[in-house]
Amino acid sequence: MAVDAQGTDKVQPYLTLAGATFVTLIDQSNLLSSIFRFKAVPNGLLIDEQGILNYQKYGGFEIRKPEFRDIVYTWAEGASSDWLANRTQEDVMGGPDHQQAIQHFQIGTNHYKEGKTKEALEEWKKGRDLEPDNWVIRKQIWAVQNPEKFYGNDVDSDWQREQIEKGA
Amino acid sequence: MNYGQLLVGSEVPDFRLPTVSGESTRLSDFRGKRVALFMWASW
Repeated sequence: MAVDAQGTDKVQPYLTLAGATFVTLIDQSNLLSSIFRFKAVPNGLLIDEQGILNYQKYGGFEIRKPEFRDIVYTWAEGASSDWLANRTQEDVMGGPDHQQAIQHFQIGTNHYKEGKTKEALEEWKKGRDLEPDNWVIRKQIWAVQNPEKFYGNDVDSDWQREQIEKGA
Repeated sequence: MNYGQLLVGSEVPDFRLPTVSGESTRLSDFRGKRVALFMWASW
């Protein structure tokens, strides 16, 4: 559903471009915003056969992102609300290799404290490779390799976006 | 209208909105099916 105040004329070109076959509703008066109390889009909600809310994510729900696409497809195929609740936590909670990744991180941190930056980075990168979406590890690597992007200035979010895009 | 924050596990209030082609549609029309709701904007 499109929350465009400007209505169908603005929305239709995107649907044509995307080849959309799903039902698209137009919310010109912000009715949904008053029901769901959001201040930004894109949002994703999953509602089951009985009209019960199973999942909600407000802001940043980019359906192109694999983590959101997986949630929607698996749920649509019949996954339970319990599966969904666990899955939602996985976005931010550690996966199966988490402990091992943390071990590398801790070894690296000990190296770093002893001034052995090169060895520290090697260990941290082992941790990162085990759990690539561990932002605590990834950003620590960035911050040590590129201190000018983090300290003494405002955090450079454009630069960070570039790092994410190139998989650093 | 003020519904307060909706919690997972609660029933979503019914609403009625037009489709792009102008047909009036209610959320409850989809009862019995799983509904994935995406909210987006052209801007």
